[in-house]
Amino acid sequence: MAYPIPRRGEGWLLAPAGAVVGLLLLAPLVVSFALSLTSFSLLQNTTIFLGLKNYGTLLAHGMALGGFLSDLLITLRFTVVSVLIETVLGFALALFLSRKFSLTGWLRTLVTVPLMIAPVVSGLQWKYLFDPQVGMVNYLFQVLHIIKEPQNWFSSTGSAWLLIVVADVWQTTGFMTLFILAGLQSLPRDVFEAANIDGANAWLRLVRIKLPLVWPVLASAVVLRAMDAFRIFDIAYVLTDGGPLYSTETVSLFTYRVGLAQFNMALASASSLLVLVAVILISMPLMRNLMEDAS
Amino acid sequence: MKARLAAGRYFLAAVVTFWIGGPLLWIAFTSLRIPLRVSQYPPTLEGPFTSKNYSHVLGSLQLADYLRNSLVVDGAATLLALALGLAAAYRISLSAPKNARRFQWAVLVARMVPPVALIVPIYFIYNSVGLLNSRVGLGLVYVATSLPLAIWMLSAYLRQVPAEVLQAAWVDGAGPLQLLWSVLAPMMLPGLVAVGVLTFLANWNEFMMAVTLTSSTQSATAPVALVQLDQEYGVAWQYLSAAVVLSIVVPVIIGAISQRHIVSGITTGATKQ
Repeated sequence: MAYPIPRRGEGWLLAPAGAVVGLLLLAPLVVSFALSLTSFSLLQNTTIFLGLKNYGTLLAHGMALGGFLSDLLITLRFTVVSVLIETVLGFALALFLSRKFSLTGWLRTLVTVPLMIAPVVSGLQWKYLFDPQVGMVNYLFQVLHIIKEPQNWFSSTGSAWLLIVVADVWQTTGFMTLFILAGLQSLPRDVFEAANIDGANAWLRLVRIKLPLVWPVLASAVVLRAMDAFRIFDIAYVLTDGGPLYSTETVSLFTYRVGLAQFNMALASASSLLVLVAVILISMPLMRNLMEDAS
Repeated sequence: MKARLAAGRYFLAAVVTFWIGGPLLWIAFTSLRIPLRVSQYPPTLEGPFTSKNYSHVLGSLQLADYLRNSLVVDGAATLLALALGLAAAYRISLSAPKNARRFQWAVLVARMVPPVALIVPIYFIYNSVGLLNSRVGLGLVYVATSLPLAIWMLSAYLRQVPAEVLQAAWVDGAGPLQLLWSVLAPMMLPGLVAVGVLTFLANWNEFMMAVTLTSSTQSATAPVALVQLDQEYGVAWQYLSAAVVLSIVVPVIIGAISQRHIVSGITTGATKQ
């Protein structure tokens, strides 16, 4: 639709959407900023103005166990590791599915299934599979002689965070696959055919032709996933709830614990706004691309 | 060489099927077993099998109430987001290009706001106006968080509607509501369905807002119920498995019907239109 002549007096069509977004997205952010400048807590009667002191607290004492900065590092480690695994697996699976064979249709349907399922379900499912008493993973690992005795994967700071990675990879690799597959399929066919005729081997075709051509799509997929992974909450809440010893507490879990379990809403507001800034920063390159597409 | 390649492909297909389908099948299997078998280690495949877990979860554990809340809250929020989103997208498309660009930027920034930035202030606001533990309260939040994506996607579909169609409707003297309802909505039906499906699924699976704002059978949704079940009956995997199966029936049916919409929605941005 090429901008027809604007008609006057229809601004009210924006009003309902504007009101809902204004009241429940924008106003809360303003309220949050205001709260973050105070000492407000649902457990205390008096509230005083603190200025930026809450932000100082988050950063100054942040490296202690369960501190904001320590949780930020945990979140970044999780984001980098899981997005890396998802990208590699997703790309490999997309390449695998880009050449049709009899099971392609089945596999494509299958990879969309985890995308329709709640993260809470993915978390519970892996909690069951990794269960120390009756877990299937312990059994399979014993049968394959990977471990001798059933392990408690949740009690060690070395393995607990990897459970969250596993559940996240299970859930979102399909997103990477479908996204990259759509990118691969929009590439011009004649380039591949020319490369085939020139006798380039499979590895050269992948590294020199497919990878550079699909690079922009891959980059958007990585940014989208990184944004989501950085704010992970559901899976971690269900699987470990931050434990053991805060070793799996992400910044979203931190905000929830401080604000809604300990009711220190001022400090939680400050941390949630820092998360907001981080997510916007991560998404900047993507937003530029999207805007170019839209205009 | 060719036979080996084919065998390799089937092997890979089997690995992927086992990785994605295995966990879900094991859950479905567990949901039909008796407690004695579920608590056995090493695990076996032995019977007997029962459907009692389902009736227990739906009845005594009140999952039916939570599923009803999910349907009501999510259904209403999705319809509202579509209606308000279409009206807004239409109005934005009529603005001068410079203003339309500004609106799209605002929509995009709103889309990036993570829910964690909203739970504390919305809890604070709802606590003071008495909207905690209410389906209306949760539904309104879902409308707000769904609108940016809805407006964004509907704007893209709207760009494909020829300007002549709108001009013809104007010449006929159609008011804006009539135009939206009887001209644009039917023309954009595939787009509305695609956006509706994505919105519905996202809200059906949403947990952070739901667990913050609701807690009882009056208003809490299925994901909240699942987590409560896990916290209260953690060892009774047969109940949790049955609840999981029941909670994924709706999204899986919707997914099966509209897989193409979902895939195209997910991959928007992967290809330039």
